[in-house]
Amino acid sequence: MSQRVGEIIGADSRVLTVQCYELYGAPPLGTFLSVGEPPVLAIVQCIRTEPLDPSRPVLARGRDFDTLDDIYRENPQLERLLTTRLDALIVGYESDGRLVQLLPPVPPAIHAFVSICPPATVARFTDNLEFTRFLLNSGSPMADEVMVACLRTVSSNRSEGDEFLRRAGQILSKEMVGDSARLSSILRRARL
Amino acid sequence: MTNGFSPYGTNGDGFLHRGTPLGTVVGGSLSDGVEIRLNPSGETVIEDVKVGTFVTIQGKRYRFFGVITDLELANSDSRIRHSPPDSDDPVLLEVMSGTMAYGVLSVMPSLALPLGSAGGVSPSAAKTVPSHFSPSYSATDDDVASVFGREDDQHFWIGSPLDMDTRVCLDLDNLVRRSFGVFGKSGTGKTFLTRLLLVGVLQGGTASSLIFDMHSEYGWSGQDTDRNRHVKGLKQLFPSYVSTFTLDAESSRRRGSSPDEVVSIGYSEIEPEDIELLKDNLSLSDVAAAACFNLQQRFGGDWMSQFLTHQGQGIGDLADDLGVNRAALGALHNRLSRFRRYPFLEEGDRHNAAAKIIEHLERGKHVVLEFGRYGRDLNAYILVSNLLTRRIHERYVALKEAAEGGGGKDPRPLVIVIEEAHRFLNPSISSQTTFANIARELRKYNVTLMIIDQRPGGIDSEVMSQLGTRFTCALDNERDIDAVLSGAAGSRQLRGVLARLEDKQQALIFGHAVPMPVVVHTREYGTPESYASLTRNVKAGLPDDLLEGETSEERLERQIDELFS
Ligand SMILES: Nc1ncnc2c1ncn2[C@@H]1O[C@H](COP(=O)(O)OP(=O)(O)OP(=O)(O)O)[C@@H](O)[C@H]1O
Ligand SMILES: [Mg+2]
Repeated sequence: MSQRVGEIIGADSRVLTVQCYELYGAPPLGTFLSVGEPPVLAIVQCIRTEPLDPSRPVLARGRDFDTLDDIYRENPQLERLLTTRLDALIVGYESDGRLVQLLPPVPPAIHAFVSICPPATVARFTDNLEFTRFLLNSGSPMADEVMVACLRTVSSNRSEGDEFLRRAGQILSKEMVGDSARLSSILRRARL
Repeated sequence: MTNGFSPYGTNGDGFLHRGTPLGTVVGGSLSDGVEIRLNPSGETVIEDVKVGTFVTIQGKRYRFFGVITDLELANSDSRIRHSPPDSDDPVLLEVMSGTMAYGVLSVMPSLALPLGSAGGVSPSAAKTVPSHFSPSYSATDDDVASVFGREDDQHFWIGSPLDMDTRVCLDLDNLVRRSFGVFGKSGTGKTFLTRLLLVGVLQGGTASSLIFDMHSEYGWSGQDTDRNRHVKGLKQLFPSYVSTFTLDAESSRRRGSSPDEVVSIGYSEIEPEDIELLKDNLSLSDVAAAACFNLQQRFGGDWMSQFLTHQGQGIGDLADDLGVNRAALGALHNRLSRFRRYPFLEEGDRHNAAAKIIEHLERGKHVVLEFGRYGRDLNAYILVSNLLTRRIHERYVALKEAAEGGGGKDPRPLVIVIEEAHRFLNPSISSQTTFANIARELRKYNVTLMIIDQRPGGIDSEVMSQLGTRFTCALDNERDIDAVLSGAAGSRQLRGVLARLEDKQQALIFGHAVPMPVVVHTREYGTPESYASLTRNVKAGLPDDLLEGETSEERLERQIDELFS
């Protein structure tokens, strides 16, 4: 059974907002998430930890402590005042057992369960790399960083290694015909 | 390049598509040719593609044929030039090449064949360009054959396209219809190409040839200096169709050639205009050269020997008498005296070499005039070629005019072959020479020229423009390249092709004898197999009545001879 990490607390056709069950319990940037059933696939593109109640700003508490752990141990209420949320970019969904790289007709429901996408599904999904266009054109200021993170995790889980990056690069280069610097920066960092 | 396998099947026009496309059309124009972007994922990298290669483009209505005229390294992001990817990053290099950085081929689509046309229909000049994204392929053997025809009596195999084994054939009828030229710097294969062309003319059977063989390399045998061996001349290959004449019997004998006739020329056959042509070579002033006409007026036909009998003071007196400058006449005398050294020049007027040559030509023979040691003397070569050509031309004009008036039949078409053509046809003298007249009057009198030259830039452009077909081996002088390409369709594009010909045995051919410009690796000449294949078609191809004046017994004897020789 795949690991459940949270549930949907906001959704539009492109971006999902997820509240994680654990404080600091977000999967890493660029991770594939599986949302609801039949699953919608989304990629973690921004993680943030913030006060549950926006009207109660966080205060600095560390003056008299030596370590970060000490702060949390002595302030057990923090676990209930703070929460970790993330934005995930929708990149496809499963339809009749097939994985398609399109936006779902309607976004998942609020409270839909969010889990880390099983590696087998990720591998199947990333046989096709058209989805990288969603990432590149997400409009997020971190689009390239998310791309790099995603390529790094996917390629480390695939046996092809460089061959995968080569394929990805070919798709990306079509999207970025006029921007060799951006392409080379992504590909270089995907292999660091 | 591979002429791949894995046929894609036929496309309704009867052609097999072999292999994957080289690339697709992405731009261009009718005047500049089309641009083909090399396939990014294809097996072909730009280094596999050579300028001058023959390609086809599969349009929506036509199949186009063309040659690659240029190659370009293009990019979609010019920053690549300034900050190329690290060379130690193979993935990045691989990803960028073919996508952001890619190859572009420039192709001149010269011919087009409507899709779906029946076999046997030949392509015609392209009046449009293939549409965007039409795939382009390296040409197959079938493509070459559909453009250049299959080898037969009237189609002479001259060579193969670059990197292919197929045969490019010349249309012999179109070849001899107008004057043509063979150009190339020294050692590039002009002589070998000329030998092949002469065999072609012989095989075509419609024209005779008269070769002024400067270096005595076409008649009996020639040198392959690179391979250090002898190659056979026309007479050895086609003994019954070729007559050899010589100016230098001794040299012919030494070389194992037994000439049919030894040529001698009478002083009285030399005309003032022959000397006019030699003006530059003899460093004669205009005045001195013009004095010949005064001399002829004074002494008549025998002016030259009469003039040469004058000595010392006599020359001065003669000058006063004729009213020409003394020094000029002295110089003329001095130069003309050198002619005394030519044993083939004789007194008297029983020589008539021209008539003998014509006699052989009219019997359908091809005549090679070997110059022997006089080939090294440009004056002798120019004098004799010009003199004989003038007489032969006069005779042809007379015959042709008689035929037109209903008296007798047309003279058999004649191709006159000269080397160092720029000496006869340079702009300063060409207005006066017989050769220039022949080039200009086209085929009016059934005489055309084949000119061989390493300095085409020195030839009168008006004469160049009359050439129907041009064969050019490598040239490196800009002026020569300009001259050869002047007036050719797509000359700007052909320039790139010509500039990159290999130094030997490669030629660019364009004009009447080929439907489109093509670069060939010239057919091998000089091996036993090459002789066998060259003679094969001729035996089958010549009309029976070729050798006029031959009795049927003679013909039988000849045919038996040929079977066993
Ligand atoms: N068709 C051919 N078959 C075989 N060998 C060839 C052919 N063409 C050229 N060659 C090689 O190239 C050499 C030079 O060729 P060739 O003598 O015809 O040059 P050229 O242009 O006539 O030179 P030059 O201007 O000095 O007379 C030959 O000796 C021969 O080895
Ligand atoms: Mg030569």
